[in-house]
This record gives sequence, structure tokens and C-alpha cells, in this order.
Amino acid sequence: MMERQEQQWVDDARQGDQSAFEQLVKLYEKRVLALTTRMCKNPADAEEAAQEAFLSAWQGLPFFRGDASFSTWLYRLVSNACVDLLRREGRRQNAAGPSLNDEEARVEVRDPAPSPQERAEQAELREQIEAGLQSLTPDHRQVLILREMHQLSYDEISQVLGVDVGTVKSRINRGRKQLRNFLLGSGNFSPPPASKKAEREG
Amino acid sequence: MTNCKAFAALLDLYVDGELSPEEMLRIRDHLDECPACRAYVDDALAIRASFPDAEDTEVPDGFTEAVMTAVRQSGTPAKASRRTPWKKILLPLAACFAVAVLVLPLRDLLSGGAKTESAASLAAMDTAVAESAAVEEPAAEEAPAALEQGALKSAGTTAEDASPQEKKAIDLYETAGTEAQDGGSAEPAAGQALEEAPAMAAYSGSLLPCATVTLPPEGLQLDLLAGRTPDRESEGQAEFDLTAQEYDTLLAQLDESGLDYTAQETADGNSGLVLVIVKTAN
Repeated sequence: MMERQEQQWVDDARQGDQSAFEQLVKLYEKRVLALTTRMCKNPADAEEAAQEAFLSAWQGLPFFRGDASFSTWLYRLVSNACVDLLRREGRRQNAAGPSLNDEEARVEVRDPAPSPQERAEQAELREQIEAGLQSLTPDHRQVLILREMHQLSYDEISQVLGVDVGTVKSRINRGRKQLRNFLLGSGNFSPPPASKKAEREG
Repeated sequence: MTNCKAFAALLDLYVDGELSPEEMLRIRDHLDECPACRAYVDDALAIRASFPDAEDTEVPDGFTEAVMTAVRQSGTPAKASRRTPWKKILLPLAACFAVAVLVLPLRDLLSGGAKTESAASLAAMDTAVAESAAVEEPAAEEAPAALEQGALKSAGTTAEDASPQEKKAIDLYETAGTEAQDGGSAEPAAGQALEEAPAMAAYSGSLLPCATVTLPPEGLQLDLLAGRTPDRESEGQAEFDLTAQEYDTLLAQLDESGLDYTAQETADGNSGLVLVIVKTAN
């Protein structure tokens, strides 16, 4: 039902219907900002990149052929907007520097978990994941967000980023391993000792 | 352990559901007996379970409004309206095409042929014009003659010098080339011009894409051209060499202004340079 509604908005917006496009903005703004807040260095940049992406979407809609889903197409624009911003401001970060955590986790942690203790643990883990994500390279961070937060398949991620699926695979593998190592290092994971050692080396 | 390594490469695919059912089962079996791989998968799933949720993202106050304001300022999707006239115009304005592309070399020819700015791309036109210029009398017999008439008309300065016969042909051409203000007499002329279009196409292969813009007598502000010096200038018209991108921008401006203009894409549309001729209506 929702999909049909979305498709209708896309069709209408493509014809120049601004209110239909506004519905799409409302539908996707959280997901778009979720990506940009983690790709950009500060909230102002994140907002700018998100706005840029929506504007590109509006202007590019006549050329949106529906080969990919609207969301995949939109995320591609978001990804491009983030990269443009990073490039423009010369902020492209280098590989896994642990010194990047100068910003707070910007996403408010609200947790549906039942028990207070579980809730606290999960909140702590989430916070550490945020910190761990910031320790990754933008490329690795981006694939993990697209995979875990936006639940895109490898194929969809490859469409979003314009890279082949093999690259997506290896980025996910490396990104996840690094994130895991970060969490092992921060004491958030307590895996069986044997595997802990083995994986830390990976 | 080597066995484990082979599996390790597949663990992410397993976690992400990117394997076939058979492969999934194979990994499951392996996980039962390998604590290291199991720990990796468990941790990957734990990360997923606690991964920040997009729905928890805070949308800054006024974000939607800011986006929509930007959208409104950008108007309707610009690129769409920018493309449409470009394509729609092709056939009906084949006659205008001759005006636009030939004005340049003939004017050069008349003023001594010294200007060679776009020599390479205009070489074919030069040839055509030289040919037609050499044919002094019986005009209006072949395609080059029609080209010549268009060029003469556009060159403006030559009208007084033209023989009566030529003048007649020019008038004919003028009717065909412009927007057929008086319907009756325009029809045969337009037909003639269109018939000759294939002959023109033979020349167009090496020509630049171009547009002819006729400004109203009171003039019009064209942002892009306002700050530019014409690359070539003659009575009543100015010519600008633009990059393809500038051209695109200009067409968008023209669309917004509601001004009549003609645009033509030639076979050589990839040269990156386009020519815009601005004329002032009388």
C-alpha cells in the first residue's frame, strides 16, 4: 500500500507536482539525514548535503526511469552529495584514524528494549557503534550504513555507489571487521576467548 | 583452519543473506563446529540488532520547509523544459538553420574573408559559400542558391546591393525562415525550404550546434550574455561562441523568458562549442 502511494508521489512529482514531492521529502528525510549525519563532519554539513540531495532529486526526476527503486536512486544522490561536500571542503578522511571522534553521537538514542539493564547495554552498544563508525573510512562507513540501517542488498548498494558487487562485498567485509574490532577493543563484545583472539587479528 | 578461512570469506554473505539456500546450509553446519566463525556471525548480528535506527534520526526544525523553498525557487524540473523545445524544433525550423549557420562565413567573405576564428569547424561552410558566391546569376536553382539567399539576408548589409532577382529570392526565403507571419504566401516557401533541407544537411555534418535568438526591439536581459563581448558582431546581430553547458543555461533562460528562439542540433553536436546568434527585431 505504502509502495503504491510512494509510486504515485513519484509519478506526480515527476510531472512537477511540488506537494507530491514534499510527501517524498517527508517520507525520506530521516533516512537521508541518517546517512548524511554519519557521512559529514558536522550537522550543518549533513543538513546541507541532505537538502542538496533532495534538490537534485527534484531536478532529476524527469530522468528517473525507474530502473532502480526510487530509494536506491535517492540514496545515490545522497551519497554523491556527501562526497561532493567532503571533496569541496577538502575533508576526505584517511583510513581508520581513531582520532576522529571529536563529535558526539548525533543521533538520539531511543531504545525499545524492555528491561532497563538491557536497554542500558544496548544504548551503550549503539553509542559505541556510532563511535566505531566514525573510526572507519567514509567508504566503509557508507556501505555499513546502507546495509545495516537502510537494509539494502549488495546489488542495491552497488547501484547506489556505482561500484561493482565485488567491491561492495569487500568493503562490507573490511568495514564490519574493523567495526567489530573497535567494539572488541572497547569491551562491548565479549566473544569466546578463542574466537576473540582469532578475529582480532583479522 | 584453512577450511575455516574458506568459510570466513562467506560469513558476511551469510549474515547478509546473499548466499543460495544450499550455501547457507553449508555455513550453518560449519558454524556448529567452529566457535571463531560463530563468534563473528554473532557479533555481526549483535551489531545489526543495535545499529542506529534511521527512524531515530532527528530532523532539524524547518528542514522540510527549507527543502521545499529551494525546490520552489528552482521552478519546475528545469532540465525537462530545457530539452523539449530543443527536440521539437528540429524539423519545422530547418529553414532557420540555414540562416544561423551561414551568416558567419558569408559575412566573413563579404568583409574580405579575413576572420578565421572557427576555421576548422567552418571550413565546410566556407566552401559552400564560396561555391554559391561564385554563382553570380541564375540564383534559386539549386540548394547552394538557397543557402546563399539565406546568408545574404542574414548578413544584412548586403540587401541594398542585391539584384532584383536576388531580392525576390531573399524575400521568399525570409518568409520561409521566420515564423510565417502571413500564412498564405508562407506555405509554398516553407515547402521549398524544407525540400532543400537535405541538401543543407550535407553541409551540416561539420557545423556547430547553434541557436538564433531574435530579441524584441526593446531588448531583453539575458544574464549569460550580458557580461560577454560578442565573439563576432555585425549590424543587428551579435554572435557568441558558448560551451555546451553555457548553451544549456542560456536555453533555460530563454525558456523562462518566454522569448522565441530557434535551436538546432547538428550531427556534430559533440564538439563542445555552440554558436549563438542574437538578432534584434526591427
